[in-house]
Amino acid sequence: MGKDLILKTLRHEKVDEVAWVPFSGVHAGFLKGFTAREVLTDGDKLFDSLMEVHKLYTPDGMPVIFDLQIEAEILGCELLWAEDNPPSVMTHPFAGELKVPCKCKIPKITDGRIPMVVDVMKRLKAAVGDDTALYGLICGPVTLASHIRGSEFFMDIIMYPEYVKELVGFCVEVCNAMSEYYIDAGMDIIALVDPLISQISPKSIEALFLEPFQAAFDFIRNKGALSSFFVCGDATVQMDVMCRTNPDGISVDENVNLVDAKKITDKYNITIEGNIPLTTTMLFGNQQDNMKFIVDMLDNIDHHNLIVSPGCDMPYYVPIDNTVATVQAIKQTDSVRKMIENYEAVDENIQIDLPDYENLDKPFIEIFTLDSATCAACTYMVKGIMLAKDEFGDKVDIEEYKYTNKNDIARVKKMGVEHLPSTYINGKLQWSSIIPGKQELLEVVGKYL
Amino acid sequence: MKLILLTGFLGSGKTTLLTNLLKTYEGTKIGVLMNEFGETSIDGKLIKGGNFDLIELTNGSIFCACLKENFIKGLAEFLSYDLEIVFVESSGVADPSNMGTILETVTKLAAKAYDYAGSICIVDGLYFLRQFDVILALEKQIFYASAVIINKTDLQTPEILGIIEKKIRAINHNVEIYRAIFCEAPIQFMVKNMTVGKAMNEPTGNTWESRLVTKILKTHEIVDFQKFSGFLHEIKFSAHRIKGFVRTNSGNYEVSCVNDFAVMNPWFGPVEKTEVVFISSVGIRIISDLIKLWGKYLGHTPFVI
Repeated sequence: MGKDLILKTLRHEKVDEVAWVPFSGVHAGFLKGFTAREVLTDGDKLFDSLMEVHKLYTPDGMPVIFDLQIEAEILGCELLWAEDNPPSVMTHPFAGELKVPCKCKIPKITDGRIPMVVDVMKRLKAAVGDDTALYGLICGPVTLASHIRGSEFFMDIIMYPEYVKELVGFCVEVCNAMSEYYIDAGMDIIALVDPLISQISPKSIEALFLEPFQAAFDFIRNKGALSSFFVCGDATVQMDVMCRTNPDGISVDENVNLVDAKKITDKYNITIEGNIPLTTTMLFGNQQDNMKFIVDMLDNIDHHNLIVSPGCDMPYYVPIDNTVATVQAIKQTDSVRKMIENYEAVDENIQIDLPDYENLDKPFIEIFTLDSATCAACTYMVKGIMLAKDEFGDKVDIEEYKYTNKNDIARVKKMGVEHLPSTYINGKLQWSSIIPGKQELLEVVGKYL
Repeated sequence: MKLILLTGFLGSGKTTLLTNLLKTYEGTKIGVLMNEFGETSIDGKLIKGGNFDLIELTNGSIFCACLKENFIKGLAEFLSYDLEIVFVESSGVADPSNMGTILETVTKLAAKAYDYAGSICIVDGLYFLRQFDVILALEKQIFYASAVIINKTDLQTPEILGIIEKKIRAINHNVEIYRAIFCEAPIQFMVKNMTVGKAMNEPTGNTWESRLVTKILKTHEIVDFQKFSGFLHEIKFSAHRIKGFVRTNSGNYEVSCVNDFAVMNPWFGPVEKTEVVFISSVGIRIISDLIKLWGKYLGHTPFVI
């Protein structure tokens, strides 16, 4: 049964099949014609959408809701809602104030959208919980801390490490409260989704965040559930320290080389989950592209301690047949391998004209992201870089290119961008998958003026 | 109605002093307002049984925004009772800088005012020097004190006690300093001679700097005395303060630890379940340490934190 397959894989037992988890967050709504906002706020619509995911995608495990803003909203962040994306955080309650929220602000089970989420969890557990492992997704403590503090948080890591420890400690207490509500509502696995981890140096993670994450994962295990650590962005160099936080599984996106990352997770006997490319393959590819990706992946990687999943929350408009093809390739790999043996992907030939970087009137800062509206790491990269606009105004030009747009994908390829999010100045790579602190940003940009 | 505030770091002896005060003022109409940083009131149980009115406020500092409202309401409520003295036992990490503002609000709310006599600060003679550099609230507690008791002097050398006194004087030059064992000080004399309390309107430091992670461990199981004792003697290195009640196979015990000094005293009152508060000295890591050490000593005995 699918559920057993997930549980055994996360317990590192031998299994004879590869497990599959579609991260259908807002995409679940697409299956039933509901908007992202509807499925993230209306329990009945969410439940109907999840039942559709269960029917169409025959998952071994599935998340109930994928929204990293639930906790932030309760803690006072204002959200910007979208119809085809999860909301993003617009304001930060402690921007400009070196403060930690009072313990009395830890979300209660009656706060915000938690009652709706918990109710759907219980209904889904009763409907499909016997055969499908259910994931409760929680905003990780570092991403939550940056929601509370805003982009200053990256400066805090350098300037006020003791404050950062306190703030993240508070956020772990929020995570633990959420874990408790979700485990009591029947979740088998609790995932801490912390995209920002890929933007912080392993040294800082080690010094400031290792123990907080360990405490959160220990708490989940002690409550009888399994745990997973979701990251997105290029977390290659962070893999080792992430393993030492002791989760049962780690989930990565397409920015990470899964084969190489698995060598590290295997060393620590941790299950790896990932990493179907969200945009190029799932959203813009065709069925063969998806099948080919899966077959190639499964042919090149050891299947022990492996769960196949999208790299992160699936884009809203992923064609249903692409996901169906993915399932088939995972579960019927041999027959699919035959089907696609002569298939070669067609590369769309979109012409992109790059500016003459040597002869610009003013510095041109280009930020390449997965999409700052949906990827928290990208949100804070864009917010962080935009501080240069606040400082220098019209003296600099800043542009974001999103990997959710075909023209921008072509631009990424032409520029040779290897990791997202990355920032280039006058055509030269400046920050790859690391968000600069304000001081560093202004110094570097200042040199181009 | 006289109001006296008792301050002092976790485990310094505030509850002991309060017990002594209640004995000394037996026959006087007393109100006690107790504040604990943890989610459960342990100290309330320790002093219960006397003839006085008690209000307990848990899960935070009364000087922090989250409990200030209840603190003000509690003080205002006491003003409507027929009492002579009200003692406030603040949590160990309380920063009383905003006491003045609080009392102004109480006066407005109750249309009556307290005769605020000031605060008595208890200093832990054994651990003060170690605690002082870490806990910012200690300096504030001493600065606003009308009298300071250096407690546990029997456990400290005269040289160190001299250093402690010097440090206290540097912060609050004119304060009366008393040395004591088990908080045995000339209480009536001390209370009578307290100079008018400094009640300032400064913003309290009870924000992030003084936040301590507090966890409460609960179990309905009866635990093995030896194993629990082993657990306690190892987990104490991760806590500033541990207090609570435990049901063991050799009877009920009151547990009390200050830094690495741990005791388990037989307790003859009722104990419904084991409930122990841990005030962490290792931040959020206390969660991992509790889970690991409980497993090491008590195996799969179910518990929640």
